[in-house]
Amino acid sequence: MYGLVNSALKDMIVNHFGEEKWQAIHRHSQVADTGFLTMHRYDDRITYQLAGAAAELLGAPIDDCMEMFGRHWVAAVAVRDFGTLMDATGSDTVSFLRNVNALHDRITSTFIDYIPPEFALEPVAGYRDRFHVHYHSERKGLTAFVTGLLHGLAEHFGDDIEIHSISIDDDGEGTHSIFEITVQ
Amino acid sequence: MSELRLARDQLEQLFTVLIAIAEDGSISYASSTAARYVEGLSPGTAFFDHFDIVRPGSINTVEGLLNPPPSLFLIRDRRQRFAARGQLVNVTWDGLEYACFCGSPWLFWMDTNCPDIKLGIEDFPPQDSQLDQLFLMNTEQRMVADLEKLNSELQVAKRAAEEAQVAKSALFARMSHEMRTPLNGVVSALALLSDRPLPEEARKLLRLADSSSRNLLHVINYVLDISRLEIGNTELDPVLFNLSGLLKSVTDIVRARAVEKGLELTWHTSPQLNETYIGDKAKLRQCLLNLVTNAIRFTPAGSIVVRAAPSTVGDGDMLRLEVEDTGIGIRHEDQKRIFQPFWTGSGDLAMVDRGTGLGLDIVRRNVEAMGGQIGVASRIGKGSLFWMELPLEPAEEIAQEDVTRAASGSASLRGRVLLVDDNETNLLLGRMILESLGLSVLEARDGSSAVSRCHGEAFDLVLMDISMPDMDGIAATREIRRFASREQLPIVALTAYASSEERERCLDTGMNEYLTKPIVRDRLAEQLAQWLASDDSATEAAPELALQGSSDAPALDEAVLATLRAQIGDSNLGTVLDQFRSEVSARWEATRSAWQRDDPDTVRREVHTLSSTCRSLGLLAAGEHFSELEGRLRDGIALTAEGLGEGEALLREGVDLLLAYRSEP
Repeated sequence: MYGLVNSALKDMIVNHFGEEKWQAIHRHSQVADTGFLTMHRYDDRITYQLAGAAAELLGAPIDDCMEMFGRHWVAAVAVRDFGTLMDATGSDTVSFLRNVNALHDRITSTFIDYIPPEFALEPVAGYRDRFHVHYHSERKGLTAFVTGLLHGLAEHFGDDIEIHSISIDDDGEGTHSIFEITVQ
Repeated sequence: MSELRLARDQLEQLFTVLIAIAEDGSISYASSTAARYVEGLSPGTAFFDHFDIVRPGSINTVEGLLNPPPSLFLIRDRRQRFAARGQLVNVTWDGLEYACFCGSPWLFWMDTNCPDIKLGIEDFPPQDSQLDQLFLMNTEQRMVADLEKLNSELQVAKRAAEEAQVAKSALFARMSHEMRTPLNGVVSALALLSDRPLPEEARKLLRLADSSSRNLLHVINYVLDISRLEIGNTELDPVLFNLSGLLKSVTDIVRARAVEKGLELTWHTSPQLNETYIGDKAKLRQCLLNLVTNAIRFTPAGSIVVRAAPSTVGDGDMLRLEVEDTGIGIRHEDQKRIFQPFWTGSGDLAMVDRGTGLGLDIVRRNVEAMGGQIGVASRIGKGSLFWMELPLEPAEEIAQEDVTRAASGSASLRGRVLLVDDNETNLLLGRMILESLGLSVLEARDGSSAVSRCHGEAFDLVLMDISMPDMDGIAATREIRRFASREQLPIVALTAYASSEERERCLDTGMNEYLTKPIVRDRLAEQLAQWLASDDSATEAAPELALQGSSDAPALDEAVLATLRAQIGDSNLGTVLDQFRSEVSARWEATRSAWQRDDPDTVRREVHTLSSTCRSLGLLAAGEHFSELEGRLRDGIALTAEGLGEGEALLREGVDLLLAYRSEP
């Protein structure tokens, strides 16, 4: 993953738990202490090692950590560094999810070798404000992160949304998870 | 018709801002994105009522729109609420010709001028790269911020590391110094003990204790040297020195160890080299000593040669010094590591004393401080050759310059000088030289007499010896400075110590200048001329200069005596030599008796005086020997019977040489 992701993980831990805790997590992860550069590609294992170490030292399940990271990603990275693009992608959670693939398409042209996830929004028959959000990724283990992203988006746009995870399929190559969101 | 609609539909898939302009300049069609952001943009209204053309600046008429150049068009809403970028193309719809603007919102203009207007991703066709650029710019900004943050973290870490290094080195230096003092006591006590009758078993243990404590002292001295170098003490102290003398004295110091191991230790200098050079002799000596000590350590049999030769790599201003041995050699892969601190070799060195691993590090640091290079060539089982290439200045030219300067500036002087020294020979010599310069000379034999004479009488200058019993030159100067400033009464130090620290100590105390013994008339005259009035009526040619500071120990440096003879005349020289003979005899007796009653302070003071007196008359080997004894005593190392015996032999030899010189025509 790009350094942007690892930096965000560090920011989240420093902001919520302090620099010392981050240092301890970093040491525990055995990831080299060289700093992360936004546009530099790092092995995916580094991110997983850091997240795993964070879960261990914070005494929280890894899924909780990843969900927290998803919320942080929206608030502290997407909005702070890419606010105009976030605004352009949608004015509410649903419109954002409709356009997020187009956003990822553009990111792909800048972050070479970036393989973004794909999202599909499917209306639930009989409900005007209920949708199934399909998340497809070549990576595994990031469904909880997407849960956090959805919550983070709802908070960002000020939407009152119920989010349920319906299914996670990561038996084969990659992951296909389905969430049901209901706009209140 | 359907073909025309298709054409517009196709254009709308490619462009989000589409505006068709008729021949009369009115708008015939505006896409939804354009209509959403530009108020009143409806068919029939005039294009130029809504828009200015920013680029190309030359297009400002309908005719221009209908014949557009194939360039980028930037158009701006006259209300400054929208702008677009694209191209103008001619299209034909329903048989009518139009100029059609095809483009998308001008994202960066909008972001800058109308940040409240939120453009959507659907306002940009997929092939438009403006959003990509925005993403790239944001990412680059983030990247720059990352690098700046990283840089500032590294700066902080670097500063902290440097401060820690300095603190660590200072601590090491302090600790080493603190450890050295008591250890010197141990070494001295053991040396004293070795002169006493002891059972053989106790003597064995004593030898072990003595060798261990000396080894420990070496290690501590190394650490102290490194600490000093690490806290930036790399200032050079260039002096004039004799190259052969340096090589001889270095090899002499370690000769006993070489002989003990049955090794042949020789030195030689290339005839192409000068005899004297200017450089940091102390650092050079330490480098050579460390290299030769290592060579002895790692050579089980054979020979060690110390060589000085012209440079093989430099541009002619470099001097090459080599230490070659027939020792065990160094593996190729280790040759780059041997100059790193604490590296004590790898492989099969079980039978060899590896040392501290600091000696070569010190050599490297010293060589670098002197602006030189160091290297090694070695073969396992065959031996090693360590070389240093150093930018040392040949001294002939400098000496010649000094002669010229001294000769041209040797006018006689006028004034009353107080000569302070506890050494009769030096007083006699000093008086003769000063009087030969036309000065009136009064004497004081210790610091307190000097202070009281300065209190009650008027002098134009004081020549002050430093090391004197009771009140030394430093204390006396401090007292004099209470009532006479540097301007009112210049005080020039006259000392046997030739070091930058000593010079600083003298100047800090309030002295005006610093001269080293032996007294060289022209150098003295040159200094005194700064403070005293010259008597232009009398000038005389300067005699030949002696090489001051050339302490590489010939038993008798006849140049010193020749200079003295030229300065004070034959009969005066005879008087001085008589004085010398009787004084050293008395001093020697005082030294011996102080040593017998275990009074190291008196021994130190006496050997200091002996050193100074011997140097004054060109007995350099004896002078150096007594100076070394004094240094050891100052470090708390007791004088041994061997040291005393060697001193006596050197003195005797010196007196004989002086007598022989005197009888020469």
